[in-house]
Amino acid sequence: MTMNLKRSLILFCLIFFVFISNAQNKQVLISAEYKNATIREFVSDLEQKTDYRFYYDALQFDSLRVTLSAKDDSVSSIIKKAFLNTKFRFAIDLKHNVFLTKDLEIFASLPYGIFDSERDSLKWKGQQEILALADLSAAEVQSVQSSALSNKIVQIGNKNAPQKSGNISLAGYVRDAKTGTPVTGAAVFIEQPRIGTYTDQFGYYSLALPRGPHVLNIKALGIIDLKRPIILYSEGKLDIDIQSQVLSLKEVIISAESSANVRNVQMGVQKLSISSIKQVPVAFGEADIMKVMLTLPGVKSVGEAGNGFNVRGGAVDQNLIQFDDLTIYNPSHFFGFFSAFNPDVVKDVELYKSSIPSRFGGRLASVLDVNSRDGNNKKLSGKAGIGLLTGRINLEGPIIKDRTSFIMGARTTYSNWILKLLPDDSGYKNSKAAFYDMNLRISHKINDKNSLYISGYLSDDNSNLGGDTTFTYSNKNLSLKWKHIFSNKLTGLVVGGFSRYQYDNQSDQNPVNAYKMAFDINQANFKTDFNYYLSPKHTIDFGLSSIRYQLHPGTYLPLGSRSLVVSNVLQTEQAIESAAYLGDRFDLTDKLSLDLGVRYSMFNYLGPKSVNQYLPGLPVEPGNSTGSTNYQKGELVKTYHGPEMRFSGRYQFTDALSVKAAYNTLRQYIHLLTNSTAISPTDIWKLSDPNIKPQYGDQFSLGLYRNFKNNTVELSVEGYYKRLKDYLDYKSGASLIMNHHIETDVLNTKGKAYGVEFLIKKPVGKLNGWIGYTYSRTLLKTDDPTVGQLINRGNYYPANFDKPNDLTLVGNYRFSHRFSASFNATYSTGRPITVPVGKYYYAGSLRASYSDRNALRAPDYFRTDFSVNIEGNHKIHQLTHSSWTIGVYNLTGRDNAYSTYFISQKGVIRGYQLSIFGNAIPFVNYNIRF
Amino acid sequence: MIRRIYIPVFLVLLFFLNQACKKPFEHEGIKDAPSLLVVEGVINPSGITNIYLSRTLKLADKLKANPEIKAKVQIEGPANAVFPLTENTAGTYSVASLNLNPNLQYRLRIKTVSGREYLSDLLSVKNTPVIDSLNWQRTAAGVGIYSNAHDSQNNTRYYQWDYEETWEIRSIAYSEFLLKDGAMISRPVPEMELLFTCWKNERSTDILITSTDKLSADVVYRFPLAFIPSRSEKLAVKYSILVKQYAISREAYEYLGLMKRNSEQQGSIFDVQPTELRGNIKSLTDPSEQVIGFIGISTIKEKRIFIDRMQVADWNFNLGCEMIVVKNDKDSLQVFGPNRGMLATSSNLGMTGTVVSYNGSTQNCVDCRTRGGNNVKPAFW
Repeated sequence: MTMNLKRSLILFCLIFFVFISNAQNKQVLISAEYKNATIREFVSDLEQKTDYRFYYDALQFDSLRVTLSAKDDSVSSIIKKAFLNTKFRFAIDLKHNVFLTKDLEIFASLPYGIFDSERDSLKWKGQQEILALADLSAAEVQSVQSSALSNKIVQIGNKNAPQKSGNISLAGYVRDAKTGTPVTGAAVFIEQPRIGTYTDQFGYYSLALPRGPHVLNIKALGIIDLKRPIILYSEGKLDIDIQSQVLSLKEVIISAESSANVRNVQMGVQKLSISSIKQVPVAFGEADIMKVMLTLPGVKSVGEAGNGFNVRGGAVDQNLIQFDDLTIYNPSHFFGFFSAFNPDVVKDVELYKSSIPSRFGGRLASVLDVNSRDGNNKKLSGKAGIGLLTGRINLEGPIIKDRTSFIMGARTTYSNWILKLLPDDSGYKNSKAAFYDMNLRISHKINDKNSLYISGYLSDDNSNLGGDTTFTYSNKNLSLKWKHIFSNKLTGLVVGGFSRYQYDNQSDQNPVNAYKMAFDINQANFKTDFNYYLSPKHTIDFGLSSIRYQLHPGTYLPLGSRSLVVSNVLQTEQAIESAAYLGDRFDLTDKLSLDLGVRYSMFNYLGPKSVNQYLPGLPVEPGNSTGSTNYQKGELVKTYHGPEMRFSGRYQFTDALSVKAAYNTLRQYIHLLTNSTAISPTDIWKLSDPNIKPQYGDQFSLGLYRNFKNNTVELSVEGYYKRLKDYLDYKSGASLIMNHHIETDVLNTKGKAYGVEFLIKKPVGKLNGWIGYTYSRTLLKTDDPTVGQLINRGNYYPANFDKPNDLTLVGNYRFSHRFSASFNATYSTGRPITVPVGKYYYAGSLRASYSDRNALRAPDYFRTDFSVNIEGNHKIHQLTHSSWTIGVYNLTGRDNAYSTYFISQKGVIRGYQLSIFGNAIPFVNYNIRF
Repeated sequence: MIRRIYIPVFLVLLFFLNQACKKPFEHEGIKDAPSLLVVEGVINPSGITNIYLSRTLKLADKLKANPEIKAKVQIEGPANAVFPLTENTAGTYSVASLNLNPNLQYRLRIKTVSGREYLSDLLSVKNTPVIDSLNWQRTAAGVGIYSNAHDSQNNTRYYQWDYEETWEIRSIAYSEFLLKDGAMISRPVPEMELLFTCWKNERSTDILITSTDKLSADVVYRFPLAFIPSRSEKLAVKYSILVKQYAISREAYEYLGLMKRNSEQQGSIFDVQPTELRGNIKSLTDPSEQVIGFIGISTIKEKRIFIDRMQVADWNFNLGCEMIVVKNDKDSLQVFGPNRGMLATSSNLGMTGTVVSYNGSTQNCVDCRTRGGNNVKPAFW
């Protein structure tokens, strides 16, 4: 039986429980005398003299001393006197249970008379604990008012169903009451016994609960914490519509659930809602997912420009970036200055840097899972934003009300036409800097058991900064997702899709040498994920996935009729990467939980392909080639396969303290080849082949998690040690583009990375934000004896992004509902640089000579940013709502070194330090919602 | 709305574009690095061969070069053929004329005064095609000079150039007088000429290489050699460039490309990391020792062109000179004395026919030698 509740019914707040006052009890009068009595003495005396039973946390009452004398007084009166002028509160229910609390007032009974008849047949076990935990102080005034009605108890299942032993499953969706969009990552749980789950990306949850009455807790990002009393008779469904906070008072919540920090079994997971991303000031003022990722501990980059980021010592290509389940190969616009994700269509972002769930694979370092929102399925609405360099708009609404909705977003830069306005002698007259991206998502609910999602994404860049070469690159993704609910216990997901990344650059300045070079990678994905809620103790995940790659490593073609360029096309590469996985989230005891996963991945490199062969044991160099072998279309050229372990465990000492440990192994069959310090959009991807082995990595991590102040302050300390094998580095002077024997120009590199990350997060309150400190090292080493010349003579050397000390503060202070201020501060050690060992005179000029890679460091990096957000008025019923974001990026104007370099000019060597943002950059953004 | 945001948009964009700003970065480099041998030169199979030997310096050193002197340098051919080179100026080792067989391979052996021995790989003789033409083209930014070449046999594929520029400079006026013993006397005419016309020259400082291996024909079309920025002194009167072309091996091309990348192509956002260089000369004494430089055997083809001021209308070179007028009295004329930096040009006569004053200007405006010029007219001028 499905209960589809109207919005007016969902609101629920404990404050409207009827307080069972002592007037309703039959009075028992006693006499007592206490002098400096501890709570234990006080309670045991009362328990002796009466049939009242007391429930309290002794720790909370250790400061209490009771001194009073009473004659023929009621129990409640005695306690009232004892607690007079203290923070202690009490409540007494019909059965003479007394609940003592500190600060919080509790209500000892559900609304009177609503289900009187059931009261006898069901045991009310555990109910008191639930109520004692009720956190009324957290309820905002507004939520109190709007939650007036929903104290109704929902009965689920058939009351007369035969009683079976074991648990009964309950499942359903959690949705936003106003827009109908699913609420993901919401914690749905009961406290006693502790059984809980999180809603998946569709807002779906499934629980197995004992028969009887429960209070279902729902907590999630940006919504009012909800408690819903239910009585479960037999298997059933319960969809819950929840109220989002209109004034977004708690929009800055960072974690999905306030105690998730301590309770989640997984380590190193950071979930950021788009609203918390939006409040972090970034250059040019538009919310930027990639830049906010960099404020998290363990996430680094080589500098402000360049694509991608580095997680715990991993290279840029070791991050799996997924947007609606499909891979994004280049997450940046305009050489890394802007993120390729439109903040208005993104729902949330999850970064896995330690425990990578077994459903993900194919990359060594991390998974960045970006999800787009479902459109509003109640009414048509939209948003637009104007920044100084970019503008964006999105539109969402129902196609079939309550069943089908769409959301579309578009974003572009108008810097292109401004560049044209620049004066002739600026040097940028003929520059182009154009990009755009578009999103479309359609969500369709076929029926209660089936839902369909279509998601499309397109991003495109076209830039030319003063030079004669024009760069264009684009991502194109399309996915179709079908969700099917087999039963309350088993849900399945089938995703199919295509993603493509391509770039080309062309130059026609010299008509004879004019060329066009192109690269693209295409992948067709198919995957299924199943969730099986076996029992309250076991949740099983399993699934299959398969990716077919088709990669065109390079075409170099003449451009124009006068070009003498010979067409040069590198042979297409194709491969299939498949995996099967099985995971079990297993609660061994209340305190000890394990998440055990195994993933078996297999990579098949397929023909047609001509594969170069080399003399065994000798350096892989053109001179040691023994010819090549041809493989026919579809023929299996090479197979790599192996198991991957994904283990994590948590031991929870108390509600607010836990330790976790994890061990992961991963395999990666695709590599990004680059020889520049920062990753450029024109670096090429390469599949593993007989000459290029897959990368392999493992990581051990250990963490301590502690929440303070009622879960409002979260502390975590995580340490990790990671090993990398067969990571691809390039030989000195390697040319990686249009190379017919790329294997001769790359080196198999070993890496090790280790570090400790400290994070203190205050997700809620007027002042919120986080402080992270990381100490980490990433060291690489080439010691393959079959390689001719070793980098740094085969010793360990720091990776380009090795910045040992990193301190980041992200803070937001909400002055009022309409005005808030955000502040960022980042300090880190300068990145490694390669500096000259000397100089020499050659070809008419002094030139710098080099030896070891990354031997010294650039000056330390320090930056502060500040922004204020001003909301328009808060009348709900008006045509448009507007807001302004005004701020300054790099407030102190410090010219942080992006790189240092030495260049020979007019015969002499000059050293320079290049800064991307050498001044304070003011920005302003205007947003409008309609 | 658009109008109001226009100004900040524009400003921020300017910011943005100029943001990739650079400032000097002082660094002494790594100090405990060894001093390496640097070998430069082209072995000319049928002409003068110069090989330059030097050592790397510390980055902070003030010296420009550190020649390796008193080394034994010889070219070795098959059948124990040996062609010794002799040191003329410090670090320059020459042999007047070789006659190497284009079908054989040769190598270079160096023995330093400290007893360390170096040997190059075996080198083939490359035959350089002629320079088809040198063109120049004027744009708003200046004059670009381009070379064109081809090899109908499609054998050359990798080209290197260097060049020497020579240009004439002139003072703003003849210096007709000079102060001698407190009085002005006429300057002798030959000396006036010496101060008025000079020639300057410069060698190329960039590595100029190209490859045609991506093209269907071995054709070099408009390879940019040199660029004269608008209003440069180089075209104030007349300009000449002598270009030398060399055919090089693929390995030499790759080596020089790497050297160019290390030293001339740094400073972009997506810099390639500078790396260690390993050329085709190896140390026999210590195989792990790094030697800088790439030696080849190549014939040399030359071409010279001239560009006259008349060919570049409105060039508008401006030395920025101001004339002063100095009264003809002993005290005032001291301004033309030694170390005052002023030279007299002409005189002004009064109504009575006596010199009332002298015109003059700063030394660099009147004496072209102070602008780095040489007043010996080159033979080709």
